[in-house]
Amino acid sequence: MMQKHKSRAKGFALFLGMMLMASGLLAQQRNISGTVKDVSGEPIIGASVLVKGTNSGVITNIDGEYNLSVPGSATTLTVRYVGKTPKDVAITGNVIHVVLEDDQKVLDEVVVIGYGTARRRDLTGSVTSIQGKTIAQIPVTGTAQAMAGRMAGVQVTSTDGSPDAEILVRVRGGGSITGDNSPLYIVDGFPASNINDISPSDIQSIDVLKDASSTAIYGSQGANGVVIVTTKQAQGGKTKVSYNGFVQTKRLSKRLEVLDPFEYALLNYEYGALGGEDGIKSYEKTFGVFEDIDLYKYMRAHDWQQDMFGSDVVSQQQNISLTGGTDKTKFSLSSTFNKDGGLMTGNDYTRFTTNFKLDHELYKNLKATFNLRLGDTKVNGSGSSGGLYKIRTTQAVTSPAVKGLSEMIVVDPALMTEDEYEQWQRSNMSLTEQAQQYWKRRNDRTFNFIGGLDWKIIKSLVYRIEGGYEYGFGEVKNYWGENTTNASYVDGKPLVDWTKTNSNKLRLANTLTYMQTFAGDHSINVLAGQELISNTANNTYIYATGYSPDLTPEKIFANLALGGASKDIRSTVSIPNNLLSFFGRAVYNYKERYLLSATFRADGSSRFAPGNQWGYFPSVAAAWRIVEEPFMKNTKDWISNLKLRYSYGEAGNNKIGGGQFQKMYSIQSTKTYGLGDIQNNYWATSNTQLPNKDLRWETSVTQNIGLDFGFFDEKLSGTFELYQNTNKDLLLEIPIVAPGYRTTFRNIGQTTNKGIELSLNSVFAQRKNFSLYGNFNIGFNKSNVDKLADGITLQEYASGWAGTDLKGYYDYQVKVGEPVGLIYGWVNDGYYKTTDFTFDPASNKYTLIQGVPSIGMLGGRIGTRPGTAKFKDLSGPNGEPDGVVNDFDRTVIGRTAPKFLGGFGLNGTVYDFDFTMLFNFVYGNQVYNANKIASAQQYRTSNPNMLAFMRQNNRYTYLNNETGEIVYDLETLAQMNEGANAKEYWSPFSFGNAVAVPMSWAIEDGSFLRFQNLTVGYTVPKMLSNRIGMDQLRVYATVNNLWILTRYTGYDPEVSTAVRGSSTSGLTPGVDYSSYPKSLSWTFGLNLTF
Amino acid sequence: MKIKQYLTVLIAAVFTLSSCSDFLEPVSESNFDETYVFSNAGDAKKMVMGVYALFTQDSYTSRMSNVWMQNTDVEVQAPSALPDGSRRDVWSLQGGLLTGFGDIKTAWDQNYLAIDRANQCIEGIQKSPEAKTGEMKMLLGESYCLRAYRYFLLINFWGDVPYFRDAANATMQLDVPKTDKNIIYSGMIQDLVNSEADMFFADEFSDGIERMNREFALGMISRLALFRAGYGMTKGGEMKRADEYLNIQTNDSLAVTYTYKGVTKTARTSTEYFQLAKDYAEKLTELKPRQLTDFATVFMNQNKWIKPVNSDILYEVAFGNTNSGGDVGWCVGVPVTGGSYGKTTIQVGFSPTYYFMFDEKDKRRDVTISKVSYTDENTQSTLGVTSLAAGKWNRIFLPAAPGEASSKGTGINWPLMRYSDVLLMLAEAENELNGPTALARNLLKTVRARAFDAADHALQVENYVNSLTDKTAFFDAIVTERALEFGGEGLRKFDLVRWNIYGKKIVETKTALDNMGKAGNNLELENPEVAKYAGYARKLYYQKRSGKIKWYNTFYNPEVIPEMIVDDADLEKAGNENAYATINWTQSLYKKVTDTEGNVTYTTADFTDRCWRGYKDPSGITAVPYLLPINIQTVAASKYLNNEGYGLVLTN
Repeated sequence: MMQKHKSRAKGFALFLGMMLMASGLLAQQRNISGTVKDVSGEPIIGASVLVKGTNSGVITNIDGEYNLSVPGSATTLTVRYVGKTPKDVAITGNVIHVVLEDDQKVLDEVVVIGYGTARRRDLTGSVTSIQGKTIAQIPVTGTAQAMAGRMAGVQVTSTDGSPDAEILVRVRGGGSITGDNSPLYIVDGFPASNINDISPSDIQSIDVLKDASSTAIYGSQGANGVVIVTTKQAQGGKTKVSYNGFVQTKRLSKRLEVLDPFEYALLNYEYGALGGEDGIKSYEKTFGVFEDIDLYKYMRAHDWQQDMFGSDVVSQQQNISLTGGTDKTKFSLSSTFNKDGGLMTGNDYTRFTTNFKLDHELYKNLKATFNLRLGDTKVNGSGSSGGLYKIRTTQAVTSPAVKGLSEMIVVDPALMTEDEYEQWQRSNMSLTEQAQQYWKRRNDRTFNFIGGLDWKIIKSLVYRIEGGYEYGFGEVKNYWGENTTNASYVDGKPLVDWTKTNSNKLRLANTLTYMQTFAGDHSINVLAGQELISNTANNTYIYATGYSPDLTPEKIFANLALGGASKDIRSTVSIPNNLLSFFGRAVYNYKERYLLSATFRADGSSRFAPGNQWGYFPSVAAAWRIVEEPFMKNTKDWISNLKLRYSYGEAGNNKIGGGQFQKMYSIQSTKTYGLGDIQNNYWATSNTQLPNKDLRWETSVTQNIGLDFGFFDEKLSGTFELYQNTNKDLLLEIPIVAPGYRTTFRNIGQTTNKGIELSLNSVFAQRKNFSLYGNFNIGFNKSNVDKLADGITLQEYASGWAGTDLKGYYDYQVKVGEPVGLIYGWVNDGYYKTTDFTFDPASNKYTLIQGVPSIGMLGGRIGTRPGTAKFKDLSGPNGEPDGVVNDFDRTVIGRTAPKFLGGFGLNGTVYDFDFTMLFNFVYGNQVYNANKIASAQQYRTSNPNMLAFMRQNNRYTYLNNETGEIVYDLETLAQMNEGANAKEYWSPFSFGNAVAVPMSWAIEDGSFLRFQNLTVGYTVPKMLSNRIGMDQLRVYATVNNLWILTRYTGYDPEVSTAVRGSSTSGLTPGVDYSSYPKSLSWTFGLNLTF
Repeated sequence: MKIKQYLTVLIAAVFTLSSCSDFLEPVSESNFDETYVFSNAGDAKKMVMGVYALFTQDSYTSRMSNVWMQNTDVEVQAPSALPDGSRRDVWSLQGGLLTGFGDIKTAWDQNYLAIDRANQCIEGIQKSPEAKTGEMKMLLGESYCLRAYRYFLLINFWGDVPYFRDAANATMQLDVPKTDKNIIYSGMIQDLVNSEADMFFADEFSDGIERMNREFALGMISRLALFRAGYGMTKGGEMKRADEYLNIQTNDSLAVTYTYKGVTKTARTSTEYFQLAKDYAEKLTELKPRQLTDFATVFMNQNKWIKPVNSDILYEVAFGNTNSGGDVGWCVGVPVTGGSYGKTTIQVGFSPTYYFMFDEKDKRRDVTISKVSYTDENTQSTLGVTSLAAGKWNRIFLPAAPGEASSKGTGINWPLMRYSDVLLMLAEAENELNGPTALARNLLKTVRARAFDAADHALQVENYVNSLTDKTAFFDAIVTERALEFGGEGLRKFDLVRWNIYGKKIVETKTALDNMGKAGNNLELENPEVAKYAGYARKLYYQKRSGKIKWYNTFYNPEVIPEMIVDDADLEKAGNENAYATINWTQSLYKKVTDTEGNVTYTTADFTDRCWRGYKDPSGITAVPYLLPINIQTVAASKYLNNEGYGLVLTN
């Protein structure tokens, strides 16, 4: 752990010191003064200096100095500072200087465990933490990114590289099959739907509760783990101002190689020629005659990847914070501005957050805390995935390398299909222009107020009441330009919609904590509490059409009355989501050696019908600090910590939408009946799933065995954990045949996650001018579907990336006895060879030789002939290969669950330089490279370009380059494409324009090792910085995503595209389709403290 | 200490608040319960509007109403060269390949959603305290009509299907096996028979022909009865009537009991259902007789959003031009490729043989079939003989220009039942029961009379109908007349199915196309089957005046071939006032192939080869695989549903 940043620790010490002073006894006999410094000679501010065995003491001031009156009988001083090893010094004179050494031990680290805190040494459950100072070391804009690769058993994946990419956090794999697998987020006690609006620079700590004995205190919401974010506490003392800022620029970290203009023209000529006379004519319209094709050798290709992702990006973050206060009143104020540019023009993310905290001691035993948090987030642009008619990243590959003659032609839309016409319209715009036809702005503002009162009723009994209110104001503005399909469906003019959402969240919690130690060896800590949470939301929707294309979207939204050929206004109030809970926890500690804890929570949720509203979640845990045993005395010199933990507990998951159990009607205004040539709004059920009043919680039962260890005075320390997590009564959205509903929710199904986690920290060197620390974590998780609905052992799901073009439609399976994320499809078998056919030259017809499996589903221009992609005939209607490749021949072709994942890092200091290196890795997963499928054939395009491996000397070709004729006879084809000239790939014309085949070729190893981050910083020596009025001045440079070691051929293996309209995307992970590519970024930053 | 007292009060308040039981049973102001929405006719109408609203979804506006109603001997649209997993495979009768095609799932789901909403309306209205009011009874009748129409669509497209009469709830059996289509038909007919008298005629309320009214209910009873009496695809892949494979005499769910003119009857056999069809068609003609108005005006009214009551159209689906669907004049209608009326994407065409099915004097031909498209509202352009379009609807006649870039959402309504349909159903049923009686003949004459000028009536109406002397000849004439009358309206496909002549008509059409094509290329003229088309126009000649096309010939080769022929583009140039341009007509119906040596051979045109690709029996006897598969997602969710049988061809 690094200790250059001490603010948190300082604050804590300050706080502790004040408490001590307030309650301490003062006797004045003699004065002792001195300084407290660290090993590098820096004064330590806020260290506590106490008379040993008493509560009497002071804290050091800004220069590390102290002045203390001690009774004459005192012989020893104890000096403490968080992050340093406490030191006892004998009182040998009136001036005592103390040097504190860094404490790499994490045993005394304070861990937030839900409605309270505990020292790490006292934990019985599984909690992994990261401290704010660690996060602060590396510039990241998002809190979730800061967790990536640093916490064992916590997988952090960004769905793609867009500035507002959704960050998926999964604790130990997540257990639910169709429910939401994201963990419960608690920010300063307040449940939050995500942590996007928390600035990383405001974070004091992130604690992730992983086993049910820890999460059971959160009852019905804890089954997927709990991520507790604590923002920086108010600190007293001298007013301190610090500034952190960075600027960042980035570029596409990888480019895909596409065909050059000549190869591109050749490809399209071959396609045309295969279509006969008409095909050649259509080629000539765009490219000219074949005789001139050589001209394309001299043309420069248009770089669409540059057009689409080549925006000049400058991102920045500015944070300023202010702390200070008096003994009784402490405050902190922190504001962060952050602008994150996207690789696509007009695509960026801006966030402004302010966090204000105030602590005030009303009376000696009554303390008030107040916290105000504001967040304002704006997202520009609609990114690359999303709606059906929006732009897709594959277009950066498949768009024409050169336009040929097509810019000059006039087309007749009547002779084109809808797709072709749209394609033609698009071909006349750059991708950037096209993207701008889909203008989108999202703005979310949250205001969060939290107040708390701590009342120390008697010394061992504390009552706390905490209340909070959060307002959320969200709006989404969409504009569709005149060249969008959406516009053509109305009057061909731009149209807009505008959704405004107001949400309120109320929370009220009362807790009573009793702490007592009996007879020296027995200590107990009992907590009882009650909590109430209520979420409500309402939204207004405005839709209007018929705006002039000359108006900017901004103008239109500011003057909606300018258009409005047709208008629609809607409003809805959602069903409140209420939760009422009672909970308790008891911890018993005997001789610091034996720890026992029990937790219980009862939750009542309005998401379920009366009768099923209440759920009860118990847990127990025990820990044995072996190192404290007398028999371990002899090993003390090398074993500094050894603790064994076991826990068992239950937690729940209630993440389904509201109103799932009752039928409700609401007024509808889309697609109304046109009676009387007006819009006739109508009543219809608001349920999309058939209501089921028998719904109840999912319950997860976790057992966890943990071993915490430390060797050589904690020079090497770590944790090893084994767990088994069984999720019962899973809420499965099951398809039903009943009229009017596609699905209903039922509590069926069960999954198990088993795993091993290991995390290690080590101190390699710790000297005045050189230090080096290392950390490593790894998690193995194996998930298994134990049970599905009655009598069902298999369910199929569609990723939907190609909509209904996808052959077989379903490309994922959930199977009993297997993990989630099985990719389902056909197995490639190269291509058909000339030896597979007989040929009739009279009719140019190929006939498959008996025994060679036929295929009818590809729909390509070439039909089945030599060079057509071939697939394995694995089965048939009778379970035997039947000579035909069709739906029966699909099998599991990929698995998206990784075998293990983790991260490691090194950090350290050399004189005034500091550095951090962070790596993360995932191993054993497969990625479904759908982009590759769509860009190695003609898919929903005309005159497509393709990935470079489809060049003529690498694909099966029929073209005689001399004559421009299509070769039919087997001998010549064999000579061109087989034997010594064997081609790697089938003909891309094997597949029809609206055919996508999920095939094993597109399933790639997604394992990677990423050099995620390298940061080098330099801290200006205090002597110098003090001279210009600063306490601290650090400059740094960072490279993110420096390199990646992977065999994956797409933009980035760390991808999971959420596909349009899919409510089951959790079941179809690992698809790479039209993801926003990741970038390589350089950052330069500054940390300043006044 | 004072502060402690405050705290005590605060804590007490908190606990009081939390123990409030309503806290865990919150309600939203945006949600209403069943009791409320059926408590009065105004809200109940909004519920019924929810059933209607599903007509404005793509699954209906284009798919089930017209785009999927092909390919027959009337409506035909050419598919791609090979199956491509899209709607084109529906056209080529290879729907079996589309087990994963999302449009099919959406259509299935939305039929069942409409049925569930109708079931909710039926249950809710029956329970409502206002149930006995006239308005509520009307709404109940409409709900039955809507449900019946949706089951009609389901059966037409999928054959036997799951049958739900109750609104879905978690306690009922949600996954059920298929029910035989004839049981569903009987159930739907019985509902309408029971409730039609409670409904308003179009002239009895302000919503006229845009809501399913009593005349629609009466017509729908006849239509359903004809389907119940006719043929359908069985699981065994054969076309059968209920009489041939079901226990019609003992299974009461296949029977309908009704009272007509004081006599209570029960229909079980095909014959009895023909009687039922006749009785209810007759009931309408007696309760609400009307004259047939000008054929062209019927559809021009639709283009102009005019909705006369007591006229030809009994009920039409109301498409608004606001946020509703409305693909009439976009995917079906006259092609428009530019100008201030927006653009079409036409997906409904006609067989060239259908063009020649009309007598040259039949005024319906040029209303029904468009040989031109519009490049803007003032300029016409010719269409090829295999690109004929539906002429009944044309967006350039919209009351106001919707704008250059507009596409869907024309607001033109879609006719579901016309009076001439009821007349022809009555004639058909009468012929089935009693042969070509005077009643039957007069009905057919009534329909034909408006198709011809008075001068042609003697020949085309009187002589033509009087020559139909036996039941078979009259039946064939009904088959033809329905083609001529309803072209483009998407009735043909399932008429052919219930008559069990789909295969026969495909073979006839393909043969005629080939023979016309041969004649058009002067081949095999010695064959009388070819020779009879020798006079049919090989080419059409035309002039252009101010963008409007003037045809020189439309049916036969002209007696005098124009001398001056120029390119279409040069027609309006100075000096070309007497010039003509040409477009290949029957000549395009056969394909000329020139091989590398320059030898010329002829073969069947791609159009003919491709359009009915999924039907391979040259005899026309076996069943046409017209049904669509159930989507694999639905199959996967069910213990009972699968795509076994029903003539489905699941691989190509």
